[in-house]
Amino acid sequence: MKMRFILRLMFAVAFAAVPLGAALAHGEPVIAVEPAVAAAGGQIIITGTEMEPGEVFTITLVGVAGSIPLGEATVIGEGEEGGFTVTFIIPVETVPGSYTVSAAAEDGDTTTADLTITAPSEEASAAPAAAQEPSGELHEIDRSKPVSQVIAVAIVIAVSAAAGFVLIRS
Amino acid sequence: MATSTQPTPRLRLGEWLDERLGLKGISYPVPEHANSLPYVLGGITFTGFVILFVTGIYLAQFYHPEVADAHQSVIYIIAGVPLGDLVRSVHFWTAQIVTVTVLLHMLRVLFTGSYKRPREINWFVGLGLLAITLGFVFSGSVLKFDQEGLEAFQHNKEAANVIGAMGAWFSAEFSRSVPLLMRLFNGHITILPMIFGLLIAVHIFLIKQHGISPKVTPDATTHPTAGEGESDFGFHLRRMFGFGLVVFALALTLSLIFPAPLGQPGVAGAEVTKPWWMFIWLFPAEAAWGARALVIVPAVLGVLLALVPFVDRSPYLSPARRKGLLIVAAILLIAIVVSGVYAALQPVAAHLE
Repeated sequence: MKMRFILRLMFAVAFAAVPLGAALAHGEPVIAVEPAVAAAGGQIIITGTEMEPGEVFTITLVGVAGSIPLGEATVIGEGEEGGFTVTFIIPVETVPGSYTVSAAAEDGDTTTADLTITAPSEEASAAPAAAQEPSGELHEIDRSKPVSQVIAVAIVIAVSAAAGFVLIRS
Repeated sequence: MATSTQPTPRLRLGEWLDERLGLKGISYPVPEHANSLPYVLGGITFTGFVILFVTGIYLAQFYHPEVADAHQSVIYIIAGVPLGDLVRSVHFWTAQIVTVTVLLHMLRVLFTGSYKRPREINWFVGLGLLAITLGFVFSGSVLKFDQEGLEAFQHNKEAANVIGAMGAWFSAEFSRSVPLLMRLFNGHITILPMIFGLLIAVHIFLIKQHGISPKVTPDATTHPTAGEGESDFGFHLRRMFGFGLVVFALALTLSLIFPAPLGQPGVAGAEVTKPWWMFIWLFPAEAAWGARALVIVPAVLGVLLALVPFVDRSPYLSPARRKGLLIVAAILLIAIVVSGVYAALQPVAAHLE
């Protein structure tokens, strides 16, 4: 009885998965952005798949501060297997942050992908003064602490260590 | 003349608490060797995690997990938040100490055969806790979003691409509404602590069920020791708490002398830093095999560690009776250390594709 129930459940799950799989197989347009993290002024490659040949997609960078048009991409291919690969330069003045790359066709087909944009690299920036060169050096911050804080911390260290050793040796 | 002795206030408080909390329940027998330093390493790790949770809660009030603001918010924690630099440094140094103690704890369990029947499941739970610890360290290193953090972030994305659907959560495409950095922060402060809480509860429960593994002698064999021993768990807890206080003092001292580092804001596409010591040993493998090494090498090591109780099924605990397994483990450990030292001495190399 229990086995029959499990078999029925398995069939139900399998049949439910069929239309879902079919929908995924025909698919909605999909884009992928490489790299997923890029510096402002840097280059990104957008690859589109599952698209109708001949369709023209408008590519836009969408962030909290507004949208930045990047350009257009025309789908090439045969039958239902269309796609595109386009390269864009992210405007150097783009504010670092999380963005969505949106590809929208005239018929309403829209697809998006995530893109993280960091500060511009020196080579990419037209204004070297504002540019930032990748560096493994430490950030210079004043880490000095008031004497009172250092004394208080030293007391906490001494008390913690002493109490710890008392407990360990008890 | 008969004299009546009045209980002291301390005794009365103890009785009052015991009646309500059943504190005498933790005073069960444990073997004497359970109180030695190698057998308290797990407890030290646990107290380290308590320090991490407390300092982490404070830091989370000021950290901003948005790409554009993350690094700046860390600068604010250091320069503008009361005790922010100190709390962040204690968080950083405790994480380093905990990583050391958790690895030493695992090596102790391996060396003393504490994974043997009936403690195999707890060995797997311990491996899960090791993975969670490394997950905490990795996500924590990304969150500061300096150059090193950003490079770790990019490696994270590349490794996610390697494992396809299994790495979906780590990919930018997983959620259109919440960026990956924010999700890593969520993982660091909610998902990982929750899994940690579950695993540590099971870990402690199973130790209580089976008892501490027997003391290693030439002829010692594995068996449950629950309810056996000359010492008691209350004493064990006191020592554990004592070591926890020493860890706290050590982390505070290191924090005063060497505040937690913070690099320059990250610039994407560049590789000019090296990862922290617990990940740097993967660098040579990544240079040889690309991003897939970041997934495959740890996975292979994890599988090998998981196979230990299946491979070593003899009841003996003495290392002298388990030479084969320990020699293989030593070779792997030496290879990891040599790989790490080699990577540390090499100039920075670009791996990102």
